[in-house]
Amino acid sequence: MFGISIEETNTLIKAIYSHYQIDLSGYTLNHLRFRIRKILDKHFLNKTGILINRLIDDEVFFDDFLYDISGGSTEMFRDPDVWLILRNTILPSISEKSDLLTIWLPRCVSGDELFSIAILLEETGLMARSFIHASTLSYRSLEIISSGIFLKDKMEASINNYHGSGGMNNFNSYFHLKNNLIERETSLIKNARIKKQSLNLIGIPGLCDIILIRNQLLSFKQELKNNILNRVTGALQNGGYLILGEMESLKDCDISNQFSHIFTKEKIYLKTS
Amino acid sequence: MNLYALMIGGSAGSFHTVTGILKSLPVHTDFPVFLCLHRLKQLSMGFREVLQANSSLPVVEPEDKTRVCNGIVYLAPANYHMMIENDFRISLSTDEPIYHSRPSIDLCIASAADTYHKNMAGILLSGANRDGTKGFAELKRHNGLCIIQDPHDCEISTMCTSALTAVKPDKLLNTNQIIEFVSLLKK
Repeated sequence: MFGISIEETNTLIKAIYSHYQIDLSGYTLNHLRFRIRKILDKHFLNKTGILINRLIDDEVFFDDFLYDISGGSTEMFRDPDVWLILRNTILPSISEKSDLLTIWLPRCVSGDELFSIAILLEETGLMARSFIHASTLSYRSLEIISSGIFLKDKMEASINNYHGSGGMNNFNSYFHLKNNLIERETSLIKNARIKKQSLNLIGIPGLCDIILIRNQLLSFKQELKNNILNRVTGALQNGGYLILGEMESLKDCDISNQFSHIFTKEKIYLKTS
Repeated sequence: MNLYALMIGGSAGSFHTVTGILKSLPVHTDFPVFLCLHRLKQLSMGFREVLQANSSLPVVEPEDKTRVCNGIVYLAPANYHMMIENDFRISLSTDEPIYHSRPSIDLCIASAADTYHKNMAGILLSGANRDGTKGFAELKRHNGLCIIQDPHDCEISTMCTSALTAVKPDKLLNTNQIIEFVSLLKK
């Protein structure tokens, strides 16, 4: 696809595994090849072989590659209905039952989901009682999230989403301008622990009330998706919520019978056993 | 030919042809149909239902990792790319739009061509941008059957004209010819 053969892709996977012990073979071939194409274009490289050499020679370049390979552009409050349910139903229900709210975002890339959930906690008055774990695959991602960087072309969609999700404040108040760039208020994530973590999420946090992993599993083959969901489920309390992307499901997954599908369209699952 | 999949890509001005194609597909169609259409985000509600009303085959917006089945029309969901993996599952993606388009026809057809090679047909219809050109070039490279709507017959010819600069189609057809061609398709 787009000039990247399956053989080249497999060579790259092997080279990265033998040098960094990071296994990218769980990505679907199309996601991987499409993103390799974009990475080659971005760096004006014409051959996968040259890319492989640079990846092996240069750890910073490799980290940058891990960020790009994670893919998945999003905006804040994507699928407003999900956030509306979180705001009006799920957060109030958990906060009645327990003093501390623990939330895990196992696959953060841009920070859009993290800042969205942080704004929700702020607006529902639960921030002081909450703790958010956020895991990233690359240091670059960690840096982008921690510094609050936000791409201006996501702003319009994000504002619309925010108001669709029941947000009543002036959305702009969560941002400021710095050197002509829009940045998010990092005070919003002062209760978040952002950590670089391996692809298969070894080292899960303690038991969580909510796990939000939306549209990040799209990149993976069924087998890795299944493994990640097994791991993630182990970190979720009984009575806790697992939230997937609107076009994802637990079909063909080992843990599907541990959940009841309480909001069908929004793919919000309640852990029952 | 041994047809194992049909893919249709369309954008502005293709709706009439798409419904014509869906109406003419036989009830016993024994291959999957992938439908990749650009649409406005705010029109996403009810679009599948409108297509379903014009189709004897089930029209579904597939969830991620759905296994491909024969006789089903898979409509790329609004705001996602749709790709066909070589294990015959559909994978979706929220990666950036390409040519301002998500779903991208290029990604859909190129991934399908990689899976079905010469045993598939692609039809490119009316549209206002250059999406589809790279994808149909890939389909041609795999010796798949390339059908492009005659730009003179397109409501908006940009998409087909662009594809014709890169691909010599196996068939250059107008709407009625496309509909007739589809009605005769068999595995």
